Amino acid sequence: MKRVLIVATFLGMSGAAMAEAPGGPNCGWGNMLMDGQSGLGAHIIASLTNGTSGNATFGMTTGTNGCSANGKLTYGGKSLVGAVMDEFSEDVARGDGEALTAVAVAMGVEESDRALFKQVMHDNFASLFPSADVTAEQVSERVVELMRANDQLAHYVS
Amino acid sequence: MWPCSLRGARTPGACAVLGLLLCAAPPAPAADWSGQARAAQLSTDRQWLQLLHYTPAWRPGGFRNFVDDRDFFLSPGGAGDPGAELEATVTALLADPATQCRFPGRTLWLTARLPGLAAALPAASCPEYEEWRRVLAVDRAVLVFAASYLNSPSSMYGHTFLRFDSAAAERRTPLLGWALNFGATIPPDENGLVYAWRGLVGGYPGQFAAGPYFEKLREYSRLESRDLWEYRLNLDAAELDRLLAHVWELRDINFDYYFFDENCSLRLLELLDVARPGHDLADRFPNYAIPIDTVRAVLDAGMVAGVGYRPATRTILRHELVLLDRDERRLARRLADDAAADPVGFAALVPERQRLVAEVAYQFHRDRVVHAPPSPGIAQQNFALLQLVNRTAAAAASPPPPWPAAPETGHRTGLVAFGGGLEESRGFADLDWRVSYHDLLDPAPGYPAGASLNMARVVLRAREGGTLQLQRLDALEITSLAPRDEFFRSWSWRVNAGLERQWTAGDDVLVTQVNAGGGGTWAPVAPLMLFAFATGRIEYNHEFDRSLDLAPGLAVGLRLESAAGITLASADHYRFTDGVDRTELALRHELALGANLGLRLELVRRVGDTDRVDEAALALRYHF
Repeated sequence: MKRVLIVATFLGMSGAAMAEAPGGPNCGWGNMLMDGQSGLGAHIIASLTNGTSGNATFGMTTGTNGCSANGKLTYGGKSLVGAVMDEFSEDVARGDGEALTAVAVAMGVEESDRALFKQVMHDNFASLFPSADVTAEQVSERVVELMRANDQLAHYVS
Repeated sequence: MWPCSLRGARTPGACAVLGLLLCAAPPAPAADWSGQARAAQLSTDRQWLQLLHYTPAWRPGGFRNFVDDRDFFLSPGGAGDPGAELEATVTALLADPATQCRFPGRTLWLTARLPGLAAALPAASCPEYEEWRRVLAVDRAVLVFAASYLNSPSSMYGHTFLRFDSAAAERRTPLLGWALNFGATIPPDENGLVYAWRGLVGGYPGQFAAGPYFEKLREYSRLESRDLWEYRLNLDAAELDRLLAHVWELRDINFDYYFFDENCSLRLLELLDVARPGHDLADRFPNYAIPIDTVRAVLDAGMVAGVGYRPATRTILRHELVLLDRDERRLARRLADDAAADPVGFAALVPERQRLVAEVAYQFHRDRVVHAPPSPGIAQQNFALLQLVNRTAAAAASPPPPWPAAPETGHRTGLVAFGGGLEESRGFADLDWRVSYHDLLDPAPGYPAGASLNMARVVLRAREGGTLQLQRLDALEITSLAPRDEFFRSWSWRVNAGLERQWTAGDDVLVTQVNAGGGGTWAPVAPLMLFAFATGRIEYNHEFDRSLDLAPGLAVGLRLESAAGITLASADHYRFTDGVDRTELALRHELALGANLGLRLELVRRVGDTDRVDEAALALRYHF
């Protein structure tokens, strides 16, 4: 019973900040990074107290081993792609980066296949991100589809 | 102790009947573990005190506790009584298997210290704790230092938190590490000023909170533009086990939170003291803990295996801007405003330069809207710029920013200076003592350029003729020089409050004053900063007609960093409402003689309505 709480609070820790988090229903590039509280005062105090707004929690992930059945690491029910959509989109555009690595790792892609994974994502930037209002769910599904369509990556998502 | 008396269920008579054998080798369950713990003097053991966060009270032999939460103590008087808490813990462990799940750290320590106790405890199953440990699968801990954020004085002391890296294959990348942060817990929608005050004086409880590292990266690296330094700790499996077992005990537990002493950095040292006993890191900071000093303590204790640097996104952007020439900067600026502009000249650039310009345009756009409310326009522009980045990405990327001097290599945070000089023709000697932290002339490596943050500074002056006087007392001095350019429209500002000497009507008067200024800084070339401020001053001066008076004014100056040291030249002018004018011209130069030693020359001319006083001084400054 407590476990449910732990899972639920994993992303909840930053309180208001995550209410419009990447990966949420309104996910898109316009609302990727939000301050919980706005204004200089709030900012200064946040630095002073290193505070967590709202209920500070102690959450830790997800499911059984941090991976859902299809190999996607999830955060509070959201896919990792959704959680790091902002950084992921940048890395896909560039062809490399830590968010791209993190998604590869979360998908179970072995180190020897990661360069390929990154290349495939990068080459398909336009199909992963067809418009400014693409949702995290659509991007996540597209990642899986692209992997399925690649001989060497297909077995990670089969 | 007699075995029989340990086994309360059996009477001495029964012993006699049953014979010596049974009594001499009793089964463990009914043993007097509390008595054994007392005999081993565990309640005053350093490690027990650390595990329970006790600290000596003012009254000799007494204890107080950083934890402000009844849930953390099993004994009603446990917060002030390590012995009672120990007994209550032993009793609860024996009576209720859930205690082992609630307090795995105490259980671990007590069973190690009292051989046989482990076997005597009731069998416990702790699925929640075990699941947490299994999911985390921690095989490395990293101490992360978030450097200060220019123009945000509240961040200037920095911040520390821990990151746990996983051995599990699907988490083995730093981004998926698990960050453990100690901070105040603030109710939502708290008023800003209330928030500030209570944060400083301890009005909020502090708690440990945890989350994925990528969230911390967003918070610090993107939203606050703070570079992160990652100190990989060399804790082994047993030490990590102790650390995590104790962290679990602190879940949802309230601590007192004060900005200066009982802060994030001190709490982390306490965790490390539990993980690796013997260093007593937290004891080194009885009065206040400046985050970078706690990092140094961890380094000095030999607990760091390696260091990593993670520049903030704005650090990267600033670095890339320096790589662009003027035309390229203009192109990037134009693209950031309109990705579809296809400005003249972009197509003519070689691919590497196109990539760099596109990257700068994208990063600049992101930087600019990072605090803006979401809107379709921003999203569309963001998307268009990412497409541009994607189109140019085939070319080689420019190298990442070089590592600046690591913060722990900077000068230490306390200061004492001895100096002497002439005020007009009269000699003086100064003793200058400052609790913290860094001013615009102090040795620059490891600190942000153009930022000054000083608290609690006292200058005593002995003057020729034998007088000793308080020359200056600064409660607070902050200056933030943030250069403006076509990309960053930063404001610069300063504030200072304290006591200082002002010649007034021929008298050397100790006045109380608060002054502040706001304006701009420009850096035509990197090592040179020019600044101008509009200023305001409130001064209490008993020689004035109006003893409390207000003075608007102007200040201009320059700061130059060169091989010969750092030079600061300034001119301040202000006029009180009752007509008194003051002008101060100052030239200051410091030559760093080492990381913690500097020689400072000051030439100051103060011009008032009736007085003109020149002062020259030379001081040797030591950071300790």
